[in-house]
Amino acid sequence: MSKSPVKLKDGIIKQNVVLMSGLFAGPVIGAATTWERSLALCFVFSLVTILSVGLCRLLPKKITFAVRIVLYALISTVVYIPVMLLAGLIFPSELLDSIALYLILSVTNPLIMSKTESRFFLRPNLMMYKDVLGFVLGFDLSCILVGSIRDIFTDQMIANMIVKIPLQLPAMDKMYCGFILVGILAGLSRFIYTKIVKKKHKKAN
Amino acid sequence: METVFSRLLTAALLGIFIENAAFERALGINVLLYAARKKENLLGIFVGVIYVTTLSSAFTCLIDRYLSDQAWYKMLLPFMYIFVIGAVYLATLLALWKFLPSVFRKVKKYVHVSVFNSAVLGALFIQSQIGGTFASYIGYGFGTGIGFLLAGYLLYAAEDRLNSSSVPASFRGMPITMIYIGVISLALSAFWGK
Repeated sequence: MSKSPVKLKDGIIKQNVVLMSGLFAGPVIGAATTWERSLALCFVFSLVTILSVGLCRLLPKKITFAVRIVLYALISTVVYIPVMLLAGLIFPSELLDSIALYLILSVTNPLIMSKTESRFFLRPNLMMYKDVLGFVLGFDLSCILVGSIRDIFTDQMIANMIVKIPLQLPAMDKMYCGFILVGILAGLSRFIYTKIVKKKHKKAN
Repeated sequence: METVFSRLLTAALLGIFIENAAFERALGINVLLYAARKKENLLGIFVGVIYVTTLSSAFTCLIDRYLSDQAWYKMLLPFMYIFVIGAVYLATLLALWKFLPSVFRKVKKYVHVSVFNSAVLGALFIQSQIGGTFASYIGYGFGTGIGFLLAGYLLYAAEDRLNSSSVPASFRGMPITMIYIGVISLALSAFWGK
């Protein structure tokens, strides 16, 4: 079991599942077209992931991988039910229905299906939760960022507040703009991250 | 017979072009990125996706037909679909282990990537929203898999250029691939008049 310290920023920045690795960029591209939609997506994704990873950890390790991975997916679909009931109390049902496809996809997200085996379960319990939290926060921040940018450019509004900008792009909520925006943001975040790391190395030397 | 075939073909064409899982719905992006990285498994991964979407569609059609009236149907839909996908996955692995052990040894490392991803689950969910006959379910499942293979091939063909030194270092790999998919998606949207 790995005892090396877990850094929250690993999941938030270095291995961000949307902007750095693109592991779970699909739902952000498809569903995060407004600020409210991205909030709903973050809410469901965060709860499903944290609870499912916690429950999956309880499965005995002697179960063969092929069966275990099916059980991981089934556990997350069971967790999805109360999470959606809770989401129904917070968000309007029309909003949840409009992104239903992408909410369902959170049950097979790569944090549950692959990172559990390759990373999370190699750490002690508390460290694992800290690590999962980092990855979930990383997803949430990028999802809200993409949702807010698209909301501002499409309607010049965010959370019912008018944001006056000289440019309006009504196509920003289209799928292709989502791909291009996520690609540009990913490139920029990699550029900034590399600059910061280089600066740190220079200082250390 | 003619009607069945025409429904099958229409649904397949819908899945391949108009509702392409990758370009029109942003499904299975992680699988596309994984397949582009691990070129030697490319065909195996996409054959896996086609096989699972087609076979699972047959079972989900029965679920939708006989259980969609139940009050709990909508809430338990992901569970039932994952159960079907899981059963197809385990049955196939068992059959391969028993009858084709050499193939089993080859595919066991990456087969779960082809099966448990957003393209497979998403395709089944979209089909349940569209509805239709048994033939259209099978056709759409098969078409989604073929459409996904097409997307994978387009990425594979451009992989060397996307990672060449003419692309700024920060944009090489995932960022430029996203922009590339975006441009294809834009072209397809314009072509279908969306």
